[in-house]
Amino acid sequence: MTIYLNNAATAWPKAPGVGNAVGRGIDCLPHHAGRSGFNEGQDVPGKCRSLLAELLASRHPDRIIFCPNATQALNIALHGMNWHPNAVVVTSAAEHNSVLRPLHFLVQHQKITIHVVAVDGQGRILPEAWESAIRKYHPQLAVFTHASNVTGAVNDAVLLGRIAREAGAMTLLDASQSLGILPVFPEIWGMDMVAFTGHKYLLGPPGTGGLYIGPSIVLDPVWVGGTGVQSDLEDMPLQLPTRFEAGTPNDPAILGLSTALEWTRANPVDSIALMDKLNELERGLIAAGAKLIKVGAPRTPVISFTLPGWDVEDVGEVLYKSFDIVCRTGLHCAPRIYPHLETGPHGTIRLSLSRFTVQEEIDACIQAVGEMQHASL
Amino acid sequence: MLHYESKKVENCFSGANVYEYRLDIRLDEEYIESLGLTGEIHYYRKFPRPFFQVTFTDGTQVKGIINATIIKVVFPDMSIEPQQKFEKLLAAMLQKKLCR
Repeated sequence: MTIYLNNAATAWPKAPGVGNAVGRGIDCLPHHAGRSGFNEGQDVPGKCRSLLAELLASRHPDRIIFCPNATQALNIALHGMNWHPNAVVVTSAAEHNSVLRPLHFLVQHQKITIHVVAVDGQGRILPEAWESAIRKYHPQLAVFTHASNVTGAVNDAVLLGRIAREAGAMTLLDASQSLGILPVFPEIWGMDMVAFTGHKYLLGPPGTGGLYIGPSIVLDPVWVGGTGVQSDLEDMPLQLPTRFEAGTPNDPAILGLSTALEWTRANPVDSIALMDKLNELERGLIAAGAKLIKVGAPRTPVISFTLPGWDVEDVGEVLYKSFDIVCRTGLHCAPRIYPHLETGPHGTIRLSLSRFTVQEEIDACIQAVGEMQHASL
Repeated sequence: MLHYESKKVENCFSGANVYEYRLDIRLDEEYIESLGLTGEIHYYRKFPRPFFQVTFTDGTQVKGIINATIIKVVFPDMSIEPQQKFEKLLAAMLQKKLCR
């Protein structure tokens, strides 16, 4: 039986019923949500938007646009901005390439300059360094991750957002690693935009994600095309979410995401139990000889480590091929974080738990790492 | 004729030159030994599925499960010579198997 500990990449298993819901969405008669009036039972995207708005404590479900993943959501936000001349973006060394590469693209095309704020040895953005950079560079936008996908360190999104906002910057939060296990409340927190994915801690299908766009934010659409409504106009409709949702929506996946959201609403994650498992895994790995990046609370259920005597990639290979344990190794698409962590140039081995991880899986993982460490001596 | 298929595989690093080889045979220890004549071999026989790793003097690494048909080969750089050298060795080993 394979042990899956790669939930920070994509959650598995998904919430009960998600697979069936996606299949039902494929098999059922297609409807056009944009023209269905009050027939809410057939408004698959509308229902999902309402569930997401509830989760985000948003009064504006129509300002949540669907995207295939968080990467596209972040691209829509970053490429849709009306950049001022000499615009500056402040970001952090903990960012995923889904933020770093669009920013790099914009730099290459002379739209912006960026300043990357350092993180501490846990991968957490230092508020003092953040504030210093915000005050120094007066950014048009501050974009940062809610939680490091490498270490699990959770940033103080409320504080970092407030610092940026008070200096006149717009804010974009990457909640890919947090939505579903941590509160994310853009309107309460004053966050202008939040990008998220459906297939990680929301336990939905791949191909789902979205972008919350605050009421004061004006973006240009990146994708334009058919919307099924106002087709006599040459321009994209002005109203959200239509303005940002050109093309046929992925209703089956969105139906799957709705099912996941309903299930997780009825079955809230037991964060204490999840952290207990994480702590036990952490203690076991340390005892087995692994060298961990130790992260204090608040954190997501992620552990990053190296194993003396072993190449990072080989650990992943052996865990999978010899012990049937799925993890992730390497840079985890966040290459700028490593100079701040005590790891080698090849990144880390990352184990990421879910609410479905059981004790036997924790024990088996600790034993496997222990055997590997013992064998290398 | 015994043969193999190869496929480039990617990892996090743009400079990585890694291939998987699918063989016609299961690579038992005898063949691992013949591969490793010019290198250093490590066996991890106590793992649930025993693992091996061969490191050639030129830095090429061959690794995989003992008695499996798929091996991973990490070449030290992007130059063609280590791969040509390895494939020549692999072909000779497979030929030896055929002659047995």
